[in-house]
Amino acid sequence: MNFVDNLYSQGPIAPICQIKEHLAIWSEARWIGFEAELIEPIPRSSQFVIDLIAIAGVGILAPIGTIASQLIPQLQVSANELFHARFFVLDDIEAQLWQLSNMARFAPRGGQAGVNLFTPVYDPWLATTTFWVLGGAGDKDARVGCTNIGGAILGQARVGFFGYRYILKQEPDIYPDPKNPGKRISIHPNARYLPAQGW
Amino acid sequence: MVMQVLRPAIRKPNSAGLVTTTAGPDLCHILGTNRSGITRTAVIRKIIAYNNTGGPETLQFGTRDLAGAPAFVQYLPDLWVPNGIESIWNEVDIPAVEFSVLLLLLALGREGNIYVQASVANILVSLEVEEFGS
Repeated sequence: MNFVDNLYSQGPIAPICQIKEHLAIWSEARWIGFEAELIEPIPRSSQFVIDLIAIAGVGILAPIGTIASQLIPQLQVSANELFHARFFVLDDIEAQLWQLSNMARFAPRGGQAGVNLFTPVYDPWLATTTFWVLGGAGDKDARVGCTNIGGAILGQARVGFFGYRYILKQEPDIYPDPKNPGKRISIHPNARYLPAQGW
Repeated sequence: MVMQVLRPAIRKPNSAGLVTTTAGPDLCHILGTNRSGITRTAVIRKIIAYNNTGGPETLQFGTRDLAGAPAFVQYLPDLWVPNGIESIWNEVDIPAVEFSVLLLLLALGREGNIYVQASVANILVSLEVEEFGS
């Protein structure tokens, strides 16, 4: 079985661990240890293609018009669940991602990147669109907005998501802390680290 | 060896959809503009036109200049559209003339958007374009 050998490696999306393997996820300003109890694929499907114009209720989107970030119910997961997703657009828009109470994602200092019809031309597997949603306390939901970058008025601004859903079990503090002998932490020595919603 | 630089592009219908010509230049396609305000360029890949006005006519494709009263600037040679039959030009027939913004002042500048100027009103025109950019 293939795994993503690095979280954002080029290639088709694949689980980042096996069932019963360990993850360390950055959330609420600390690393938290989890064990994967179930991994479920979320194939590309119509249910996970959403129309931002319909969600925002704006009717149409004029050229250069923008839809502010919208909460996407399809990306919500329960506590102790992780959504590992990639995304694409179907219309001539550029879609942007926000997480953690509207913090811009894919955003170096100089601007916020987005995903548009050219993205899969350069990145056919959409690996650079990978993001994570960890359920539970705090505002961890994902929000998506878009800009019409074509010259035509749009009646739809569609964004689609696919990936994997992991059911996790938070681990107790039973593993040795390599930096602090005598202390116990929740992170397994072989855990794979991932950023979840980011910093 | 010839190195060919990859220029990713997307195919799309012209933004104005089905255009019915008038006496003046008629807007067929507005170039896409990214979030940084940078405009794409476009090449016409397919033209279909129907003339039922009673006699043979011509179509001119081009853009407009950026003068105060913008004037039509022809980019492709006149296309002959016989009466009572559809006229179709495909990618192999159309030179890859690139429609692009040229932000020089007045008549030297080019708007870049694609216009059709017909010799008579009421010719139906539809395009397919390939847009290059971001």
